[in-house]
Amino acid sequence: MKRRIILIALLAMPLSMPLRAQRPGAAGVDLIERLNRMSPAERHKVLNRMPPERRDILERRISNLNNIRPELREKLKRDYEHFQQLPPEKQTEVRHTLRQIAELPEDRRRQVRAAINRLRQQTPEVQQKRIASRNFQDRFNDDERKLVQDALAMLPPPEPAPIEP
Amino acid sequence: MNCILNTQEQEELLLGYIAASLDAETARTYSRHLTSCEHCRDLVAMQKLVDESLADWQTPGLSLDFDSKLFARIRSEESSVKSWWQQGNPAQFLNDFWGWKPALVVALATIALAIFLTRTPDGSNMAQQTEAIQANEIEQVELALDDIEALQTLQQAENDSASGAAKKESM
Repeated sequence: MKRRIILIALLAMPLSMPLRAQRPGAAGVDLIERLNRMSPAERHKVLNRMPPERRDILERRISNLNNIRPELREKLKRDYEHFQQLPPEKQTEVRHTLRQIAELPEDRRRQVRAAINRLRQQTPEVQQKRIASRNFQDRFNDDERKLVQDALAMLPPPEPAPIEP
Repeated sequence: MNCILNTQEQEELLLGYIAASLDAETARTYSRHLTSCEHCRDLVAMQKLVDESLADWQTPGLSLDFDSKLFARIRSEESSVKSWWQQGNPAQFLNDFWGWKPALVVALATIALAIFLTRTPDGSNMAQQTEAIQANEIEQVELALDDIEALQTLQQAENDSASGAAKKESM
């Protein structure tokens, strides 16, 4: 096995440098778009090597993503592009925060997510003022307020509103 | 996690990961290992290049009388007497010791070199469209979907609050 790997490595060596220069590692979202561009036959050929259960789940997830309304998909794409630009340790923090939010009881989860979305539309000054308000402190406990603040710090600022003619 | 090269029972893991034939949990575990093992990352990248190169390689078509010529050649080889270079000389020693392996290595190296020399850096859009996704990239797709779906949950809350507000307004 080791000899086989070494042989493969030796053969690939002259190929590796120019090819790496041509194709700087495609991101996951680009790969999803490439899968979407493929014909059903090509896509089947690519995914056919996967265990059936894993393949079914993957196809269902991609299909769900494709079924999102276009304007929401754009917003999601923008959030994800922002997320991808974060350094790896920040990405891990975002995942951790989102997971903690997802693990809240359903009612609290909905309240926290709604608060994050409302506050995202505000400037950082207004956000801090609202979070510090008595009303906010009555509605959310310390842990929930921290989750809201962490999420706001990591997510991209809202898109500027279109200028009216 | 130990490097797979030091763990004999996991030697097939690398090839299984590249072929996307592992179950999701094992693939995820190995993917995490890749983040900390540069050696394995290089091996995956190199194996991927070899796979890509071999996928792109077009085999030449065979002539209609290929089979008949091949069998005729085999018959004539079998019936011929050993040539002088096969009888007790350095060539005989190499032939006995290595068998067909040097020929295989040379053939593979030639294929790799030919692909390298004939490959154009800027492929057409058509080529990019039909470019197959490598099996190990599927792992990247799954990880991207994990993150996108997590971010999507915030949007769902936004929709809930927007539809809630719309209902209030209509009442």
